[in-house]
Amino acid sequence: MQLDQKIELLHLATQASEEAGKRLLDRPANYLHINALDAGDIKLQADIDSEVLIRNILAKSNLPVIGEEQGGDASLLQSDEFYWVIDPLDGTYNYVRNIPLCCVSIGLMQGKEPILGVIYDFNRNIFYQGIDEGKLMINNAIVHPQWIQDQSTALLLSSLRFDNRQQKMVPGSFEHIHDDFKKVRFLGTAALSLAWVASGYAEGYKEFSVHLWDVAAGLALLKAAKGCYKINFHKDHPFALDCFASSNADWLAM
Amino acid sequence: MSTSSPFSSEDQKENMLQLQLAAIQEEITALEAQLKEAKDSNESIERIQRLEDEIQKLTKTLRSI
Repeated sequence: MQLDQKIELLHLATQASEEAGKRLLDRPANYLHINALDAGDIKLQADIDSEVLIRNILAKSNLPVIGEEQGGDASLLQSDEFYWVIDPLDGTYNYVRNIPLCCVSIGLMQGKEPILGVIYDFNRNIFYQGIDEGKLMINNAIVHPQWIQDQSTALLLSSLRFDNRQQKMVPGSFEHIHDDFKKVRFLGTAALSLAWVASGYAEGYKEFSVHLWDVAAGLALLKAAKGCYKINFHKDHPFALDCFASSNADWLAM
Repeated sequence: MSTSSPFSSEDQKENMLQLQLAAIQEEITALEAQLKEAKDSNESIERIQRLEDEIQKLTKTLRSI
């Protein structure tokens, strides 16, 4: 796919994320209706309606979609086809609590490769946009991340390890957060965490048992920012994976 | 669809393309300088090859437009 075609799709994804984000910001009454609640997750009507809205806009591209709410065709991961991966509201619990750490995340992938992505931080009206062979942009401006070069003073974004099947924290939940980074922060949104690493606010992101829609757009941003990452897909769930992203390839030990 | 903002207007498409093209050209220029320096200081063949590959990839991207 040529650069101008990617720009066309990036623009479409930006439109879709903006429409969805503005609607989420309006907080229509039915958006806060809780459809499902378990120990590990919460599902709002906002998640469902936001995905429908995004799918309707992306339909213009005639590309298949994998989304958090409606799922999609897992065989796309093994193909050469381009397809969208969307998280219509990443950081749902933050959204419910009015914590301004949530976003809309739309990525384009080919097989297992992130190609481009848009993450819209609708609370701050910030668009993070990136194309694999291009550059990272924040609100229409090219950005060169100013990462800390010394890991002992660097920042890792992460989360605790939660076992959804067992509905409890994985024993040794803190062990994956090694001592090599100076500080660790948990934002409660994987997509925004990756956008922040790509932007240079942090140097690493590490999370186990996330889903493709949590990280697809963010990994494209990271590629645009010339960062690096490692992902391990789970064998028992086609969209589940462990993800470690960093500004420095030497820091990518899982 | 509601009225688009400065971030998603039709004009923004061309703006994004021009921004990306300029940034890629800037990167090619920087890599070419690194390549010259690598050759002048007899750096490893692997590093020189990596730089040449990267320049070739980016040049191909520019020429595809």
